[in-house]
Amino acid sequence: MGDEFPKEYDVIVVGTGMTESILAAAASRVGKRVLHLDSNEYYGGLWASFNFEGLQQWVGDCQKPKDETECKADPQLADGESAIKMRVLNPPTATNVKEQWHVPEAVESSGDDAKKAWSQEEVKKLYRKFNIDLAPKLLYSRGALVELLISSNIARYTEFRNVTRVVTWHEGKLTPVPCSRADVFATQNITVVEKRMLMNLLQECTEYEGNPEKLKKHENQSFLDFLKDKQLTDNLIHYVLYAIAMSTEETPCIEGMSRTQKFLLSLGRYGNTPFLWPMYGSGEIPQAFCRLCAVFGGLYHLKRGAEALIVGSDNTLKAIHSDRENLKSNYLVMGLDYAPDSFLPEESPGISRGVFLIDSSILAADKEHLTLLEFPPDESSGPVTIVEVGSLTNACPQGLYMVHMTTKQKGSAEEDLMSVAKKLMNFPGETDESKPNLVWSMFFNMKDTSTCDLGANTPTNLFLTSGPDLDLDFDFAIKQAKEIFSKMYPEDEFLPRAPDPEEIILDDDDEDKQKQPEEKASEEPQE
Amino acid sequence: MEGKAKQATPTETAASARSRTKRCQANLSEIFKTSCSSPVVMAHKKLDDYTEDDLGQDQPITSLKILVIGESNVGKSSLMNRFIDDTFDPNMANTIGVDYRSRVVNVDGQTVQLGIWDTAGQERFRTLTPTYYRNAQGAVIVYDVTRRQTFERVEQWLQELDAYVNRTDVVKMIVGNKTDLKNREVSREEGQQLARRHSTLFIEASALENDNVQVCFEDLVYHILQTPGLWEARVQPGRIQLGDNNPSLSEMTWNCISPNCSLL
Repeated sequence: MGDEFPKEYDVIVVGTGMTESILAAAASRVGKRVLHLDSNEYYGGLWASFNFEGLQQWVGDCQKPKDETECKADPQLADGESAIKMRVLNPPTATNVKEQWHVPEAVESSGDDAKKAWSQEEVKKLYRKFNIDLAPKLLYSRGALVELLISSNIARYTEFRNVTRVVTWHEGKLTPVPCSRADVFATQNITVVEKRMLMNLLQECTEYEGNPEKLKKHENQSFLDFLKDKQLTDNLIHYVLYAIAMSTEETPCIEGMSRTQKFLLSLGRYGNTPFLWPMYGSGEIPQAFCRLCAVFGGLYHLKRGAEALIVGSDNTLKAIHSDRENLKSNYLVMGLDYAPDSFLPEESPGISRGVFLIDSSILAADKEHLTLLEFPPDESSGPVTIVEVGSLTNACPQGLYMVHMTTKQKGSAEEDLMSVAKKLMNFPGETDESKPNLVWSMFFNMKDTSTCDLGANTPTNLFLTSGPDLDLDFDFAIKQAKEIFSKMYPEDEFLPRAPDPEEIILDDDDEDKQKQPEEKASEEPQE
Repeated sequence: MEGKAKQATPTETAASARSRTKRCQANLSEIFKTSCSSPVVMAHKKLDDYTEDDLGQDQPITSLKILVIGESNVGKSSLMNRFIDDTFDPNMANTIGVDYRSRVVNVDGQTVQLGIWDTAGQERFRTLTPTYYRNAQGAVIVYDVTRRQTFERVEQWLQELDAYVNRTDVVKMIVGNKTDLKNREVSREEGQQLARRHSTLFIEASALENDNVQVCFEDLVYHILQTPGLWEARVQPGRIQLGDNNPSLSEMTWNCISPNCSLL
């Protein structure tokens, strides 16, 4: 274990977001020399989960004015090489950040209230009980990430909880959606005739690929028209279209079918909804990949980034300049949040995010639920993906719930999400007893570059990775990581199964293993 | 102390532990996938395949996650390897691909499965992931008695530990390693004082001479077992670790729906 810091690598990865971390693990796993840097003091970048105090710091960083000052780096350059200087300050790329309390700083404990009255003081005191996600995501139980975690043997670093109910907003109120056979059987919200219709429809969706003839008929149809053709009741159409297929009125039929199928195929593997939520938040997932990278020899350094990129005349990256040293690398993987402006696509769509701390669930029940709600689009907002998590996932302290909202950006996050938030919770002054009271809220916007060509303006051996996308799951990050990996190492396997420690036979200790019990006992220390 | 140590490993030797480990590879790996969620269930699952003869002792009552932390080059991996398979390699490079190492020990008549988690070099620039700390029941914080600076960092390691472990009663053991070296910079008394100040266990050890290494881990396990609520099979329903071994909830899927299946 030498103390010197190696100067040459196969891959340098800057940023510890999801795609970057998967790539770091994949390269390290097949024996590449990996250096993984992050200029933040935490893992995850735009995918991080923070406790309440950590989040305050993040908000503070976001609100700093963007500093375009370039680093003073003065790297040594060889013939034909040039240096692209990086920004000194690299604030998180979130915009329109607005954090707000909705309860007083302190409250006198009255004791006779049935419902606890929360204060800012109390929430802050419990700051370590929070894991607040910048990019809350679910896993389909048979989705790409679950399969990857199992096949690569990274699953041992992670723990999940099942989403326990899927809920929809219908006719001005929240209703649980029956999604498993047992649910359909048990629900009282739909009639027996409807149950049979729903069963038949869902069955058809699981088998649609085997019926190319039938498929043709629906090619130019919307999923909504298809459902109407089936003569489903409005009730059922709503459940299937918005809650199960998570679609809109415009979604094409085949896409709706395939989304329904994805939902149904993931049912029953770990519970009675198709979704898993990571314990301690989505920020755990990139960390699990980082751990694997380190176990296979990857070198980690937080609070260290790149001050300049050294590019040769052939438009290939030669090295990065970091902490006054030139570190050579064959490839550079870089999170979008680090990229110099000249590398970035000019236009990219955005994501609107809202985080709400409330004093009871949006849909009260006799136990703590982990809830997914696809809020259908209406005149004031697009479809909003809502996940409500409670203390069982370590997202927040007992007695509180955390609601995450995500939607496509149109205006600011606050403008995009306020109307839905108002429907689900009491803002100060409102006293609807069926709704939870809002304790604290935060809005912010992020870029969504998942649809952009990130390779257009970069040196050929530099790969930019996207931040969080709009999808419910992590599939895009995995797809992007696989694509980049196959460009770097087309011959190598992507994250082959890591052996369990018991399967690793260390050499050169054979003679030691032959020791007899007596010898061993005599070696026991005397104190 | 000596009596206890002997009693602790009447039949357990590095060699026997190792050969058993090899025989039960697949089995053990399964266990660890589920180790955090429900220790007792896990113990059953795993030990179904063991016979008393295999083990030469009782079935583990629980499985524990032990962390080994501290500055670089203080001998964390050496202590671990000495404990697990009684080896010492003075020129040990970072062991590629080794995540944690496991061993079954018997402490005070109780058989326990230990998983000892290495830092994988992530301590070097203080970049251990919070994930590493999760669900640990015990931690060994190591310093080098010949390098004062490593001793001075122990308090920061304790702070980091407190920040990330998700319970307050994790048992900690401060270990002054490399007592075999002459140029000592930290006295035993200083180490003891530090431990007293932070209410942790303390021991000086030498991985090279195999001095106090077994005792260190066994003492830690002993104190974990003495802490109510820290290790018992606390059922934590709803926590899921991924694996192919999950029971199929086929009655919840749509697979068996057929026209003949008249459910409604």
